[in-house]
This record gives sequence, structure tokens and C-alpha cells, in this order.
Amino acid sequence: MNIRQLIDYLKNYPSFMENVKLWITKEPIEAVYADYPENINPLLKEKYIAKGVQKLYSHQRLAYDHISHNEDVVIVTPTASGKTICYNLPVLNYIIDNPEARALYLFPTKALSQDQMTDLNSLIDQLGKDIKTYTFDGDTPSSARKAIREAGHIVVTNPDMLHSGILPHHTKWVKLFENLKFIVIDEVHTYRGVFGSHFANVMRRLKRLCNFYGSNPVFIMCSATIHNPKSHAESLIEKSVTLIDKNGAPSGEKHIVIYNPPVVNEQLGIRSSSVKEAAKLGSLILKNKIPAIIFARSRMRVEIITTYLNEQCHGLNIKGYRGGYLPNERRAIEKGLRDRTIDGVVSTNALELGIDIGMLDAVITTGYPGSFSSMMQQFGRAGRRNDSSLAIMVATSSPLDQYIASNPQFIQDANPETASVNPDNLLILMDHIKCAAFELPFGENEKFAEHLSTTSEMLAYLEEMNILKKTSGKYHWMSDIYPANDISLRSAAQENFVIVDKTKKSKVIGEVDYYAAPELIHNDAVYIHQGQQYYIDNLDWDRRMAYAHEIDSEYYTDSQTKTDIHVIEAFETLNKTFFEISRGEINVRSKVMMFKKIRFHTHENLGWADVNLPEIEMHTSAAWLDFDVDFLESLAGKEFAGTVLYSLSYIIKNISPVFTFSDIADIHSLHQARSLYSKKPAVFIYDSMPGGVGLSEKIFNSLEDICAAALNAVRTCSCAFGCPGCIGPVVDGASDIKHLTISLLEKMLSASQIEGNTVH
Amino acid sequence: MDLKSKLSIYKSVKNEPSQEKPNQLFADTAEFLKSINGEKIITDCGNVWRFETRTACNDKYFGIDISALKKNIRPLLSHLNIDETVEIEDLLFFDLETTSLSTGSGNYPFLSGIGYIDGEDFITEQLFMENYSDEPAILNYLLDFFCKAKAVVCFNGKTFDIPLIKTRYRINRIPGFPVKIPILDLIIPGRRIFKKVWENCALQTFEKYIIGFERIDDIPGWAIPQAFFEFQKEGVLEPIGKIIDHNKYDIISMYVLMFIFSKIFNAVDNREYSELETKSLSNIARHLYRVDSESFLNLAEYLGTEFDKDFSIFEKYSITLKRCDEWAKAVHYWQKYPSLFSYCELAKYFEHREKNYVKALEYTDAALLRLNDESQDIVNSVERNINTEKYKTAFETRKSRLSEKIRRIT
Repeated sequence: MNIRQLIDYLKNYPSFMENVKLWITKEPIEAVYADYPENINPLLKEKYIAKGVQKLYSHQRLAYDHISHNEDVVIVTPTASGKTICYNLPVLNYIIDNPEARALYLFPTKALSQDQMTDLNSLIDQLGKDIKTYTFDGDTPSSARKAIREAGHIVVTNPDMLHSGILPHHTKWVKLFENLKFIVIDEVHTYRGVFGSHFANVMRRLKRLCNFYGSNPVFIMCSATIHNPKSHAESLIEKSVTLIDKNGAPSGEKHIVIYNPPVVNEQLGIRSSSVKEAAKLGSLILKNKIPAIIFARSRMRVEIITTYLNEQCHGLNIKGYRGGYLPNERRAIEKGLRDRTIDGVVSTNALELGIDIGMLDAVITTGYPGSFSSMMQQFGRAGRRNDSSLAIMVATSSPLDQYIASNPQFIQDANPETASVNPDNLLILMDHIKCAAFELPFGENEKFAEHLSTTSEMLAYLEEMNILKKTSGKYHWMSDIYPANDISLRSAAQENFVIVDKTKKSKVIGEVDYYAAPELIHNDAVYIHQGQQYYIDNLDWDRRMAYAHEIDSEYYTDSQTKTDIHVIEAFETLNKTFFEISRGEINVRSKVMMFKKIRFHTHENLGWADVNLPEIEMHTSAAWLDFDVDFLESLAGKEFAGTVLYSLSYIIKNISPVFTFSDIADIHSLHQARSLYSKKPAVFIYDSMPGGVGLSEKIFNSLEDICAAALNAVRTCSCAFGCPGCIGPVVDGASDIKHLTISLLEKMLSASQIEGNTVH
Repeated sequence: MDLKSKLSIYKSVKNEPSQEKPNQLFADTAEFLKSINGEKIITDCGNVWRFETRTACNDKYFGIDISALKKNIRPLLSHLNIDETVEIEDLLFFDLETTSLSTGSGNYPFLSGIGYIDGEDFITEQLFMENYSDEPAILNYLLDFFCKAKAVVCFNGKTFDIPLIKTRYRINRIPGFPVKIPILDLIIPGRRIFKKVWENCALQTFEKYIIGFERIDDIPGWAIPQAFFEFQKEGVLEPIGKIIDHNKYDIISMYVLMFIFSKIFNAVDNREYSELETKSLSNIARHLYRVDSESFLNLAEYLGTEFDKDFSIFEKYSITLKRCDEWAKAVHYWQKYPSLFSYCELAKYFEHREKNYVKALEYTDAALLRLNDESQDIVNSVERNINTEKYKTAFETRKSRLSEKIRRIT
């Protein structure tokens, strides 16, 4: 079967269709073309035409026109709409006539920047002009760095390298900074949350240095579809930006399917595993030689699905792909997908970004990837310009997925998410003020950003801490530390753990980041890499190393974490008749206590063991609910008060992403029978990133909507007494927690406010 | 909660003020700096502390015969590829003390030391950044010296002091630094001659073994940034005096070291090997191997052509013989010291020069036998480090090619 036949087959296949909650067919879209600009360099035009670009798409032309008027732009482009032309055309055209001019290209990852280079270089080769393009990242040999600093017209790098390798050494990059004409920032939608907040500060530092060297570059930004591309781009560079969002590129017919695995146990509301269903659908597609990608939410699921698919599809080449694989391994898989030597790939969101793997015909997304735009990015992996494509989301049993499966119109009506950043997060801001002071002394009245009147207060603080020294109206760096080295733009990136396979010779098989290490590579864990299982013999915490050997295990491991919360400060409290809701800052300490052994396929629990690893500590923002003890006990009884609290925290955490427009992993929740702060039963919902990025504030502000959606989700869930799809796993024989939770939510929604808003 | 208390909750900053304040002998910085012969000089960009010393070159510490230095400097310059017409009066000795040991634009040179020859005397001048705002004045003052000099003499300055001072000129927007000025970095000849002779190739090691001078009560390099910060924070003065001495001795030692290195290269060029430290001769041979084949052969022969001890010199020696077309001699040594290297060279020689394929094949077989025989004790260190697989493939390719050639002839 080809893709069209497969789509027809599925449409007429009852046992598939009875689980389909939504089937949207998007009609093919015709291209809208525009002429090349008249003032374009004829040779450049000729080379583009020779590459097959007979005419520009309308958005490419529009981008060119705005950029050539020195406007900062953000271009919103779906996958495969020719976005690279949007920036390469104006940049190359300018450099041909102004060989002194420089451009800086920023891609969120090293892999992406290398990918873009190939394309750009081949074009420049054909032009026969002396335009030098270089990648400058951690892999650039030191012998080549000098030439790049002095002669590179287009320097391609990533934010991390800009932050730690370029800005602190700006004097070596005089040519670049003095002549910087364009800054291209691709995939700006990925700069959200903590990473985005750091990124916005790196932009402040970059602009500060451009100002010092007297350049005023034009920003060219590209984004996948998000709700607020213009305001997001503006908050990243703190300048006003022109939005270009009328896409002129064509696309083929697209089928989008929401699939909810069948209920296999009515009583307990247990559905067939999404992992198994995804593997089943995946093998049907792949066996028909239809190139496909299967996305899964966690690294573990990627490995499990890869294992299942390899069992089911003999003779096909199916690979896993995720963070933690070494770069060479990843490059080989990307290449295999492009040249079709690999039939299918199972990936985490690592392949969501624009890494070139060619176009595929089908995508399966296992579990809502946490945000609508992320799902659209994944779906965008399928779809050629002139053929049909299929994208299926297989719902998991999580409340959020079940909410979507029972309200599939969500997908139809959904606005893509709002990307948000909080560059003024105190911790992040402080980090970058330090870096900026290292790069250039601060004037006493200088503001790090126009609205940051607190700059002087922060500088004074740093002086008091003996990190800066003020003389003659300037703050100078007074430490022998190189601050950028201690600051990672993606929390924990520098603290990766290395996994060494000792089966035969010692061989590094991959890496795990600091926060994930206690959960994934504790002693006796089964760690899966490329479908191969490894048994962790020893995790050397201090040296950040884990030693493992290959095994063939019938189970995988799943760890359990214990978390403690202390409130540092409450900013705001709303008093309701029998509860209070507050927001503020907290200190979270978490420790992995034990792990369970789960059998493959049946997912039964085979036993557990202790984990003995250090505690991890974090300060962050939170919203929390404090309940009157008497009220809660009268509602649920003394015995079940805690369980109801747990269910409430479970459903709020799981429903919140719909309202915060964030990834589910960005929010954590915890219930306490007696909060250390209020001495009352409490539920905490908090940002999972140090310092927070404003998610808990959104939750505080939309609690009523969240509770209403939670109530709807619990009420409409098909289970009898509660299940992981609504209020979380329920212990057998417990009281009717489901109805207790419903009644708690109802009471919360009808509770009235008894006092005014207290702002602390 | 105000910003400050919030910040202190978030992060406990390690730089807490030190508990005990050291005794202050001097009421203020000026008094102290004057007591160690500092003077405040007036420049267009502000006033700045300067320390100057003038020492006769034939002083007992220096013991430098200035006319000998003038003569002997040429070989050193030529070995370091610096224009030989540069006179010693055109040299600027240069060393910085900085607020950090790493690089980056937040690293400030708070003490800039220079030295130069003036007639029969050697002058050091040091400029101290009492306040961060003194930096432009210091840079301006130094600029004349850099512009006048025809080469800068430093120790490890190519990677540290020179790029750092360039950065400072750029950040302060002071144009005119001669970016292409030749650099005579003494660490380069130091390493070439004395690599592995002593514990390391640090300036103070050279002082100890070559100059015969050991510093007393010197402040170690790693402690210097903190000492400056203590001065900035608490006004602690005593270490500043030590740093000024430390920097001064760095400059003076560079001067003496340059004199000694000049003598060494002069002796090398004149083939007066008995004048040289015995342990440094094989290093010198390695250096000559790169720059002057004839001198290399001469030194190697002086060192003795019994190569049992230093096999790497043997390889270089035989290769140089080959380069100088002394084939018979080369073949003699390859045969005298059989090794994979020798077999390879012999096989090449007989295959390509003598066209004696049978003989070439014999050596190839001998090499393969050696490679395949695990009981064979491969004695010398060079062979232990080789990539046997690569060697094996090369010999096997050679063998099949030779066999083919022999077959065609017969």
C-alpha cells in the first residue's frame, strides 16, 4: 500500500475507526508566488533559479522587502516552506555588494547549525564569490578559530557558544561586531521558558556589545506556528518587530487523526497501552514501506517502542533517536533517514526541530507532546508538497490526553500556544548582569534593558558582594572567575552524567542530564539505549559517571521521588470560605527513594529496591492551596483526606498545561497533609525550573478555569471509581475517591471570597 | 521583601569579607607606595603610580657583558625567525600581573611591567592600577613604548600577555597598538632546549637552574589575583609590595635569560657543544633537525652514533643522512639498528633506489615476521608506541607489490 491506499484502508477498518475520536482532512494548498526583487544581484538570482527556485513564494519576497528596509522581522513558517531563503537571500545579496559586512546565524542546537551550513556552502560555492561561512561551536578546532574570528562573513553558532565563547571574548571578534549587519535567529519558538529567558538576556548582552562597537544589526527571526510570534520575538530582542505570517508555500492533503486506545478494563478505566498501540500502528505503516516517524514523550518510551517495532518488523531498519545519543550516532541516523536507508525512526522531541531528515509520509505522536505547537511541529514532519500525509496522535491514559480525547474539538479550535519568557527572573537576570559586567564595565546609570531601572540596585548588590568594584562612575569586574562558565543556558546542561559500557572495553554510550540522572541511572537501574538494555552497576555521583553492562532483561525500572517544600515568601493570597490560594517562592528538595521493576509487555510490577543518592535542591515559584482541616475532614473523613488531596494535586497538575501553554514536565505538584508553612493540608503547584518562568503565576490567576476543566475531566471519565486518566491511580478498596474529588472541586468552584486580595 | 534580601536567599555568595583584618602598617596607600619607591606620574589621561629601577648591566646579579650580548643576540633572533637587524635597544621586555589567570574581557592587568636597555643600564618600569579607572592612563603611557619597540620580549606572552593587552586597548578604545609587532617569547627556546631536563619549563625553574637564583618570600602566581582583590576590598597593602617585586624579577629574569639563551644559540651555531648543558643536547639536536640539517648531523655525531640510548635521534639522524644524499651511511645505520623503522627504510631504499626487489622483499618479510611474532621483545620505545596495524597493512601492501614486480621480471 502507498500512503493514500493506507489512509483509505484505515478509514474502512472498523476496529481502528471505533477508537478514532477525530479525523480532520486538510485540503491541499496552492502555492502563492512572487517575482524576485528587481534590485537583486543577477548572479544570485541565477544560482537560485538553477537550484530550482524559479520564483519566490510570497512570504520570501515579503521578508526580503522588509529586511532590505532594515526592519527587524519574524517570519512564521510551517515545516518545508523554504524559510532558509527568507534569510539567505537578503544576507547573501547584501554581502556580495558589501564584503565588509558580517552576519551571525543562531540555531538552538549544534546539529541544526551544521545542517544549515551544508546548504549555504553549496550555494556560495556556485556563486564563486569570496564569502566565508563558518560554524563556530564547541567542535571548532582551536587552529581554525582565529581565521573564523577575522575572516568569517557568516558565523553560524548556537546561543550557548555565543554566551560562553564569543561574547566574553568580544575583543577578538572586533571585525564581526563592528560590521555586524544581520543577526539571524532560527526556531525562535524554542526560546521559551528558562532557555528563552536566558536567551533574551544573551541578546541584551549582544546588543550592548554591538552598541559599544557601533553596529546596529537587523534581526531576522523565524518561528514555527505559535500564538504570539510577534510579541514573543519582541520580548526576545526587546525591539519592535514586523510579522510576516502569510505563507506562500504549497502543501499536500493532510489527515490528522486523534486515536484513543480501547478500554480493556471498564471497572478500573484501564485503556490499552498507548505505547503498544503506537507500536502496532507503526508496524502497520512501516511494513508497507511507508517512511514514518513515531514520537514518544520520554526516552524510556522511545526505547520501548523501538524494541517492539524491531520485534514486529523483521528486515526493516528502524532506529531510536533521542538526547543522550552521541553526536555521530545522531548524524548517521539523520543521514539514513534522508537517503532512505533507514525505514523508520522512533524519537523524542529531539527531532521536532528543523533537522533535515527529508519529508516523511506518516507521523505517530504517542501522547500529547505537552503543547499544541509541539504537536503541530511533530505533525509537520509528514507531508510532501504534492502527496497526502497522515498524522496520528495516540492518546495515553494521562488526564491531559484523555481530556483531549474526550474533547477533540480542542485540536480543531486550539490556538497554538503562547510562548513566554521571563528575562527578568531575578536569578537569570543576575547571572547575565555578571556576564555583561565581565564583558564591559557598567556605567553607574546604565540600564541592562530599557525598563530595568533595578539595574543600579543589582550592580550595587554585586559591589557589596565584592564581585564588582565601583570607581569613577563605573562598575568593574573584580573576580578571577569567568562567569559564563558557571552559567548554563539550559539548566543542568553542563552537569551531564556520562554512561560507560564496561561489557567488553570501556565505551561511552551516552549522557544523561543532572536532574534526570537520579531517576534514570541509579544503581541497579535498567537503562535502555538504541533498544539495547544496560544494567547500571555503579553510579559515581561525584565524578558524574555511570558504569553499566549489557543485559537482556525482562523488565525495565521506574523510580519514585520524595519531595519536600518550604515556602520562602508568599507574594499574594486570596482568602476563600474554606481555603486560601497563594503564590510566591518556595524551596524544593527532592530525592529519589526507590525504584520499581516493571515487566515488559504486561507492565506488571516485579518488585522494588531502595535508591541511595543525594538530594537535589531548587528555588522556584509556586502557587498553593491551603485547606481548613475541619472542612477537608468533614468532606472526605480523616482517613481519606490525604488521598483526596493527592487526587486534586494530580488532576490540577495534569490539566494545567492547557491553560499555561507549557509542557507538562514544566509543572510539578505535591500535596502535604500538613504544610510546614501554613500548618494546614496543602497542594503545591510549582515551576519545575529554578526561579520559575511564570507558570505558577498563570495557574494562580486561572485557578477557577483549571478547576472547572478538571471537574469536567473527572466527571466525563469513563472509569467507575477513578483511574490514572482522571484522579490518578487509586488503591483498591479505598473509598469513592472519584466522587469525593468531584465534590471537592464543586465546593471549591462555589466557594466565595471572604476577604480582599492580600498582597504581602 | 526587598531585592537584596531576596538575592541573599537565592544564592549564598562565597565572597564573604574576610574575618580578620591584617595589620595595617601604613595609614594610606600613597604612603605605602611611596615607601617602596613609587611615584605618581602625570599623564594626559590622569595620574598613575610608577615604579622605576635602573641597574647597570654588569651588575653582579646580571653579570651581563653588554657588548657580548649585542653580538650574541643574532643567532637567537634568527632561530626564532625574528628580523636579525633588530638591536637590543629596540627590545621591550613585557610582563603583566592580572586579576585572573584565565582569558576573557573581564581580566584586568593591574600591574604592567616593562623593561628596556638604556646604554649600559637595564631599566624596569612598572605601572600600578590603584583604581580601575587608572587603566586608560596606563595604556596610554605604555603605547609609546610599544610603538617604538621593534620586538617584544616576554615569557609565555604570545598566548597570555600580548592578547590580553590587545584586548585592553580595544575595550578602552585606544587605537595605535602595533598589532603585528614581532614577539620573542622566551618560553619557546626555553622549551626547545630544556624540555624534560628539569621538572618543568616555568620561568622560576630557569632562574633556579640556569641563572642560579632562588626567590625568597615570593608571592606565588595563583595568589596574585586574590591579593589584588584584598587590596581593593580591604586596602591590604603588603602583598601589593610583593607583587611589584615579583613582576620586577620576572622582567629582570627575562633579560638575563635572553642573555643566556643568546650564548647557547651562539655556541650551537659555532658548534661549541662542550659549552652546553649535556642534558640539553638531544633537545638541541631535535631543534636543529627542524631548522638546519647540516648542524644537526654535526651535533648528532658529536653526541655519538651509538644510538642504543636515544632511538628517536637515530631515526632523525638516518633520515637526515638520507636527505643529504648520504645513502651508504644511512643504510649502514639501518642495518646496524634493526627495527620496524629500519626495515621500512631499507625496503624503500632497495625497492626504489637499488631496484633490488628481492632484497627489499627480504626486509619486508623480516618486518612482518617481527610484527607477527608476539614473543619478539620489541625493545625500543619508539616501536612500543607505533600503530602496529597500520605498519602491518603498509608492509603487506609492499609485500604484494614487490612479489608482483619480482614475478613480472622472472
